[in-house]
Amino acid sequence: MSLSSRLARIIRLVDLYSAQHLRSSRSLMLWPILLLFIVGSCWGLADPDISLPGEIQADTPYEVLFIASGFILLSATLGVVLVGFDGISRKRLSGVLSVELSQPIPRSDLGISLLLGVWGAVLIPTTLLSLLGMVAIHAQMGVWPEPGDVLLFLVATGLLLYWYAAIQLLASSWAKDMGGAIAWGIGIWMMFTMVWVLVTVMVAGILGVEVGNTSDSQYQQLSVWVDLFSPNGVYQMLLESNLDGGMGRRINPLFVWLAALLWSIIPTWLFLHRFERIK
Amino acid sequence: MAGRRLELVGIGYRHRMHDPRRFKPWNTRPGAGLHDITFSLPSGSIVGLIGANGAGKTTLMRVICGLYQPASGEARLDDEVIAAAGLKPRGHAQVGFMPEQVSWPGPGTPRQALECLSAMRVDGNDDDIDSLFKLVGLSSRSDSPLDSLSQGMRQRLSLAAALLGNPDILVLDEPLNALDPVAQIAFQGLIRQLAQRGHTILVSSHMLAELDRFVDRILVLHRGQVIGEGEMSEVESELGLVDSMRFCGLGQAPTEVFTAAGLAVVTSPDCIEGHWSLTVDLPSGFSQLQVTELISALAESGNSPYSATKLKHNLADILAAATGLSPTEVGLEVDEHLVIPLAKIGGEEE
Repeated sequence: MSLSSRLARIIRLVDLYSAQHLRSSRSLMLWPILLLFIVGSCWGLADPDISLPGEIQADTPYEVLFIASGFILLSATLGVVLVGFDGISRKRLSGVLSVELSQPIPRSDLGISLLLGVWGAVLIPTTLLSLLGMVAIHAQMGVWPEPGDVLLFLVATGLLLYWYAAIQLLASSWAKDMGGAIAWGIGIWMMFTMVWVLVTVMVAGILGVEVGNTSDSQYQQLSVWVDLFSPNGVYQMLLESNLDGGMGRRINPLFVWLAALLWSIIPTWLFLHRFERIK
Repeated sequence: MAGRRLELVGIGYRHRMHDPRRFKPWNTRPGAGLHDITFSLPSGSIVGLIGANGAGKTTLMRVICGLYQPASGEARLDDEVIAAAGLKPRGHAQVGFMPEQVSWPGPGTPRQALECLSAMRVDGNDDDIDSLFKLVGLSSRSDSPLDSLSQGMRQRLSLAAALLGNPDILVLDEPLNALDPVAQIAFQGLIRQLAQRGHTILVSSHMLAELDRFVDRILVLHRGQVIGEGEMSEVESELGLVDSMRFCGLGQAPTEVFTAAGLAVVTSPDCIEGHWSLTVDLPSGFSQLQVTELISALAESGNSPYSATKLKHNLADILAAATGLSPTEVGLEVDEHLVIPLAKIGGEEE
């Protein structure tokens, strides 16, 4: 079978899987959450009269988008968990996975279709609502974000969602029951979203870095490196690379893009490797 | 449709069982599986795969359908190897699989489910889907939500999924489970119809009486090994199982008539409220004519029976005959070391 035929089959399957997810009640629940978090945050943060805690100042549309990315980390990634936490385990428990695995398609092609199907189901609403958020920023500030900034924001957000989709499906392939799938899905999301600071502090403690003062330059440098091991950290650093002034952290962008590349390859490879052997 | 011949040679497979150790909680060990499975399916036949729970029926079917990679041996479709040790597990276009009780969850419809499966095939053609729905009797519900389907309808959808691409070989795992008696009869008719169209069908069940109505041959599996293969009567004869008949009549049981005909009465006659009933073993070669003569002799002695029924052997009888255990012991697996034959795998007795 030619490569083009295989690609055409994968694209068709991604289309069908994404449509299945988008029709689900979970996706319908996701839209208002994303609307509130993405468009709402863009609208609120772009308000000239807003006063943000911690002396954070959003003067440009991109700075608004950067701060709004924190809300994407909370909502869109949770969306991937909602759609993908049982992406494999549910099919396995219901017997549908056996039917699909018995079809004459390479497992790698089927696995990548499932992965891109979950990704697409969250990417579509997130992208549309991010664009709507930019309209909200324009309505508040009277200026549009730069095209380069928009492109970076959308690419970085797309990559973040892809990493989460791969991690979620990998975790789902390990889960033997629905409880396990929920535990794996939520657990991984919480680790990167809620408790990563704790991981950073623990690493700092082990390495003898002062952890009482988070503005300490040694601690900050360490947190940058530790953040490369978190999809959220890499996402933030990708976005920081376009920030003017002192909002960004000091790290060579090459390392950040290298981390992004590894985050794109390693979870995907692990998932496909697992999927080749799934029973 | 010219059928193709499926042949399995020396197939071996072992499940990995979770066996946690203190410092290695993920540890596994080899568990039950299949041992040296060799057989072939004649094209256009319906072969019943029978065995008790845990005999390896589903495992064998999953090996054939490319879900499990065998540890040894190979499965061939004519000259094409479709599963073998070292060959990545993968489905085959000419093998359709209907797993046991697929629940088809989700907000989609049967049509969307089949469209998705059809997209996975090179020969996928959405135009075939309507004819498949018609064939399995699901046309009226093809656009209903999956969640609204009954178990019988889900089974029909699973069969339609197995029939996508018109495969030569159909592997049906417990297709009669969860079906009511009416649906079971309809399903049996459908399977017969598919065999007439040239499909070779391997169908598993532990319901021997139901299987006996529509299969051409049986394959008896016990503890991962084939212990009998052929037509039902051949297997019964190989295992030394004799036919028996049950007679019922009015008055006193005429045991002397049966004895005079050279038949052994295997159950002591029951006499309840003027009705008698007893069971006799029929020696090998006891013809229908001899049965008629026996009934005439009973009538002449004034004990004309009002019923004479040939009894069928069930799965427990066959397994008991093959293993030398009593049916109760076979059913409960009271002592697995009593089961014959013992297979030696990698130097380890199982």
